Amino acid sequence: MQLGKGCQSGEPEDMKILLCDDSITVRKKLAQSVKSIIDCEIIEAANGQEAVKFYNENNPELVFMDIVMPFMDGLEALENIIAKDSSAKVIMLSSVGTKANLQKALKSGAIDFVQKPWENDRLKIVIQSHLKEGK
Amino acid sequence: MFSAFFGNYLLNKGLVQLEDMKHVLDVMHTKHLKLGVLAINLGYMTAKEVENVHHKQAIMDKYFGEVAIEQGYLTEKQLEKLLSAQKSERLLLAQTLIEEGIMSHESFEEEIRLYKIEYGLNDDQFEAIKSGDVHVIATAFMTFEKKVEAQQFYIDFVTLFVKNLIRFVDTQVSIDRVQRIEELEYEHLISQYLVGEDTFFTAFGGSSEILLDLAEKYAETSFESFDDYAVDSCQEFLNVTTGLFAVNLSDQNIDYTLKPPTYVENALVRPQKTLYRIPVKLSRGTIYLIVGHLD
Repeated sequence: MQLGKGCQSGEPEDMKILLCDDSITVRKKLAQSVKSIIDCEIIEAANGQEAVKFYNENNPELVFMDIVMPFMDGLEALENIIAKDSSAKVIMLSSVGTKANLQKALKSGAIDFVQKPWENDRLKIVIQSHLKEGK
Repeated sequence: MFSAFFGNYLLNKGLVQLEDMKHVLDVMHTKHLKLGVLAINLGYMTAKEVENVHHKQAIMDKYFGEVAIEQGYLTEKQLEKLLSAQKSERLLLAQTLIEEGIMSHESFEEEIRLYKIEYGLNDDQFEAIKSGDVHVIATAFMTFEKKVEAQQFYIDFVTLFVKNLIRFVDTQVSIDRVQRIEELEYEHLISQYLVGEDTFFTAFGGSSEILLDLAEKYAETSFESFDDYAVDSCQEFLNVTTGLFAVNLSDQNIDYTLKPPTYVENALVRPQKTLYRIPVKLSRGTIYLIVGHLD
């Protein structure tokens, strides 16, 4: 199996959620978890550059963004997305929930932080609470 | 966890064959320790009293404990202790090995004694293996010939690595003594750097078969071979572990930045700095965890 670039998967729905992680394992597991919580179209990005591009093209309701990634890391991608759309809802989802990363992410406009490995219950609360607020 | 540690010791000593051990591990989970035997072992009842209870059970529909209390052989407190001892993995392993005719009671107890001596385990450390206290176990097995400044750092990392293996990959995990690496080749090696005041290097290596098994269990899917997807799964397993480790350090105000994990096939590890490896035994084979500081 080849590790391709970011791709779109699933049935087209009104709701779009962008998942950005360089690990295809994470993207597949996360897509499965998100789909079990909410009907939506999943857009997958494999690095920060793709995330910025796919965000601009698709204007998703919610973004889950990893931090440590090649080409462009998640914090830089977050800044790029917020620079173009200050109302973007970006949730950092990373194994590195250090104080420094949390501070940087929140300062740069992230609305939440989910520590990997995630629990589906935590994911559900995060998705429901942020989608309720509206964009 | 006790079966993994002591079972591997018995295998390494050639006292039990691999097929026999697999059989024992399979059947021991279907067995219960007999309350009567436990009661005799703990000195609560005599063999005659146990026999009396069995005789009464044959003519009335009652549990062993009920009859023994009615007859005044056991107190409720003693019964509680017996029921909790019934879950003892150590006693279950012993009972199964003995019932299957692989070892005698005496040789089992003798090997327990020798095992503690060989690994220099004190009573608390041996209890930790029985209760599955990974941090105490890692401390017992991470003893170095010379003083190593980062010893506690490595123990904490190994603890987290093993806990994540148990959580995501395999409940039958055991580790062996830490070894200093001279030069070693691995069929596959997944590695990662954590950069802070110094650079911490960690990696794990192993064969296609064992890493494929790890990858499948972590990704919760199956792969045809140890392909890019399987490599990615192993990398993510390491990444989650190092990430959580960095978070723990961050809570102590020690900051490290993670570099993305990397993968090398047929990797020759020829350390310029001192590196250590810990054999980690899983149900399907052994992987080698490597730790060290590069500056």
